[in-house]
Amino acid sequence: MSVVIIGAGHAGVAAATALRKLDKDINITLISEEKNLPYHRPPLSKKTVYSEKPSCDLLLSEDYYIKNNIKLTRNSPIEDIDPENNCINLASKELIHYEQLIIATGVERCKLKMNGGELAKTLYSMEDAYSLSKSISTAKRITVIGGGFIGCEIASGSRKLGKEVTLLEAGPSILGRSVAPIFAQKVAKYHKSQGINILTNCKALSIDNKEVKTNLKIISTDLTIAGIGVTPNVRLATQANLDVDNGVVVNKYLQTNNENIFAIGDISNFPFNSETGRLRLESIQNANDQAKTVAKNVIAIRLNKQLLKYSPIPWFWSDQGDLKLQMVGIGNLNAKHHVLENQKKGTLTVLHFVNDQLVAVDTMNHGLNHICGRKLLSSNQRISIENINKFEGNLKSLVNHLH
Amino acid sequence: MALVKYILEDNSEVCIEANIGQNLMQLAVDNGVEGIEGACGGSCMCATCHVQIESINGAQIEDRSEMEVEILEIEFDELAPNSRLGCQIVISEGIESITARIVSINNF
Repeated sequence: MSVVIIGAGHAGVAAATALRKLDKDINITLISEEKNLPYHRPPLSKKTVYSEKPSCDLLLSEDYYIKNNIKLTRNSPIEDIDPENNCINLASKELIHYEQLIIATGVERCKLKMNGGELAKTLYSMEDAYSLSKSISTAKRITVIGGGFIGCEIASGSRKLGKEVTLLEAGPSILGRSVAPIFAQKVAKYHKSQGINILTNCKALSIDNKEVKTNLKIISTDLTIAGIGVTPNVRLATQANLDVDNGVVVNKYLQTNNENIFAIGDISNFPFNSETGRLRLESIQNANDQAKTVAKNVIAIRLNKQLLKYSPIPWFWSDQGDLKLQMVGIGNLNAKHHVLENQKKGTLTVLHFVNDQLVAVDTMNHGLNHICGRKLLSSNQRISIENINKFEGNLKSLVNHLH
Repeated sequence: MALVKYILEDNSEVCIEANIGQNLMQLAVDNGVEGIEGACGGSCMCATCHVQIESINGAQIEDRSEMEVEILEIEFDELAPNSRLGCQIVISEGIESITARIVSINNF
């Protein structure tokens, strides 16, 4: 019995460990294109690139793979998947058979399509982080293109080192697609107070070694960094005739249109709920929780048992300067926002309601409310604005009341 | 080098040698100790590495931070004084041994 996992990011590694916990005998092969042992990715933009001596945090020690009989094949690019013969052709011409296959090939960063776009540094891998840490340490003026989470993290981390930082966002607001507008405004206000020059509705047009030309002005810079999003790495899935549409399309059990092939992690486009429809999430929570679900489903298929549905409470976090931002749930454009703020403590909580039902909670420097938000959203009870008001915005009291 | 004894939820015990600088979450994850997950990689935000410290020999560990207390508090009406997040307990010089009971509070 053998399971092959392609991709040794968070999702792939978590799937391997979850499988091993469920079954001591199953053959597990984890194929990685990277040379390094699998590592934590979030610290790259939160810590690693600002360090003079960057190091990286391994997901698991090398010993773990050996002790648990997980065959980790590093530095192994894949030619293609042969779904008819249930095997994988490595670029080295080696052939690996599988009974069940888990695709966790993640995403690749988008590149800037403009004159000089290749001069902009990007950040996705450990190698990127090591290279970027050198560039940041020698630069005085840094321009960051893209006001999403990665762009904001890099801008604030660089500012903390005393760099002159300009952050360009093509839309009307940083973090515009991810959090409540009022929340994004507060984050922007903080970054401005720290001396970051934020330019919104600002589109970069071309880059050279000294400056970035934009639709608004020309910005002198020593270093340009692009954080303009990622695109799912679907080459192998497409070649294997799997349904592909903004990632690999899976059902609620995380199966692709080939029942022996699953897709998890950043690449997995899964059905979330009737309000939101399908989602593709780039987060640690999603990688870990999908990995646990897929491991159970791989075993269930073998035992001819009912498969488990993936129904997550999505959460993620971002560290920006002194701000710890924690988000849970999925808001949408129709959401009404309810704000709980403590200016003295510098905390902010924004609750998102759709049809007077709580669907998401954004918190700034308020770990307690984040955990409460997760509890409330996983309680399977309808939480309305009235519920919140009844407890005068004290989420902990509301959680305790529900228990 | 310190000796860390984890007491699992079924009351079985696992002893692991830890190096200075390692934390109780990563040590448990690296060694496949049941009940410790560390989903957030030690960012003090996922509460999946809860332990109760039963004893320490040698040097002491650092006190709980405000954030750690906040995250732990939600789980208990009265927070046990020895409740900790494993990721926040770093083996420092002088610690000879630690006994940590694993109490997985909630997997969300």
